[in-house]
Amino acid sequence: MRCRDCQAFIHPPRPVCRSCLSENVAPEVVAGTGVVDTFTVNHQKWHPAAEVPYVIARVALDGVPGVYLTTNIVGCPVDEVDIGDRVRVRFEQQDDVYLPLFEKVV
Amino acid sequence: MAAANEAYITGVGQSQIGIRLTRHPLLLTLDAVREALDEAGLTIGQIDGVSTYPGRTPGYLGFSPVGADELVDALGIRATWYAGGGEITSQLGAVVAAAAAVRAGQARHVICFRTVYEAAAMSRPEEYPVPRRDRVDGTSQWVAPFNATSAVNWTAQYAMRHVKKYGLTREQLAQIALTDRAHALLNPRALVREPLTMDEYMSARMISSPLCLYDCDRFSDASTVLIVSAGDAVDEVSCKPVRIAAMAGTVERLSWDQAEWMACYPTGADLWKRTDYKPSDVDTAQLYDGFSFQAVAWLESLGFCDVGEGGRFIEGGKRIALDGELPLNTFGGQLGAGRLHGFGFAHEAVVQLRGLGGARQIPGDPRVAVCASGGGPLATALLLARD
Repeated sequence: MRCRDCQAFIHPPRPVCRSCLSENVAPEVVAGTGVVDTFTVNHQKWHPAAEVPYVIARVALDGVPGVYLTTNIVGCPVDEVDIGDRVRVRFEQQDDVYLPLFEKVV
Repeated sequence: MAAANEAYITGVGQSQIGIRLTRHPLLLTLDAVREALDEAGLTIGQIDGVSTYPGRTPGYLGFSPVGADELVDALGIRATWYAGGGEITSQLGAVVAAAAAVRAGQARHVICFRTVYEAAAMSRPEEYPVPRRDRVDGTSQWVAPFNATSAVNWTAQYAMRHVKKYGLTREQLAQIALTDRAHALLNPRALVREPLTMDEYMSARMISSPLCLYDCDRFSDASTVLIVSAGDAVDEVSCKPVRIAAMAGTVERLSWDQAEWMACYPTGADLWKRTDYKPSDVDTAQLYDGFSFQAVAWLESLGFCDVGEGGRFIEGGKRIALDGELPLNTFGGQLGAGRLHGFGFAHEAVVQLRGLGGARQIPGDPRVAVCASGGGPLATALLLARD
């Protein structure tokens, strides 16, 4: 979401801007690219169906200051992810939900 | 001596700490209440307030099986004030609320408690069912789909920044777990009473890098009680009152992933703005360590070292040992004593300031202690003084 008055981005989406309290907010298309802000390699099998290890990362989206997405970095070995890596979104459909996963830009 | 407009911690108490206990959680709470009343020389009839975190949590009862209102009713407390809830700056926020209440004259002696029953509940799912859902909502919807459901995943990402930015090493981080386990050996109530070696730590399986098995606390069953008393009521107690010299708490964002940084940092800075004491006056620190890295972040937040220097501050472990310059988590912390969820740190700060630590009592005549809970999106710090 983005505020049409002060241009601040709002995430998670809510019907009010947390920067200026305007209610003039709407969904906004953002870049599908960003950088790895921080990450962890999860080794614990929290669910029987989960395949470990996998990378959990916090991605800072390009052009969207102050917004982070918790996501997975996929498509590369887990030990090849680092803070500052450039990444690009790869949506994965599960039923009617599209999960924004990310892969490294090579 | 006691000032009417101040708040004090008087009696403290704790139940046994165990795994898969069968004693009813209300009775564990009663065990801790009884010990706290005995220490303070108070009767239940003198209690007129109750405060807890996070209140009763239906749907996940092991996390918090007893609510403030239930305790009021079950123990026949004639309460003029009570509160319980999770929408507060972490576990010790319940003590902040109680201190504010007694200072405002709403109550004279408030039982603050935290009862945990997670290990027992997990072992008896028929009694403590966890509801299964196909869809998640609230803040979970932003992390659960990516299998980032545990706080270890979120804390690990903060720790990883320290690894990459400041050079925090596993050997340095290990000192929290090693120190906790060394101190737990001296605490008869501690959950884990076995020493831990650096070799064992270094070869432990990774849970969520850089945090390994020994960087994580484990579900426990226990109750901890602190009685917060008004300044004009402390002459009714028979134990040495400990003054709450300063309190601070902050929330960064209502999520683990939108906050720029951890809430412990502004909380630590705020604490020192509210007192004439300085970090160098602190005789012992009892800092949240549900995950080891949180204690490192708290040491930095409270100004015991610069931001990024936490790893080097604890390197080798001597500084934070029982006879070190800043004895840390002298009861064993959550990694050694058990997951008491925040309240154990305040309990131990009071025990040390009273000189009742027994084999784990720090040397000298400690007069000032700092304790803290949370540290991620929510954080609370208390400065306690025997002055």
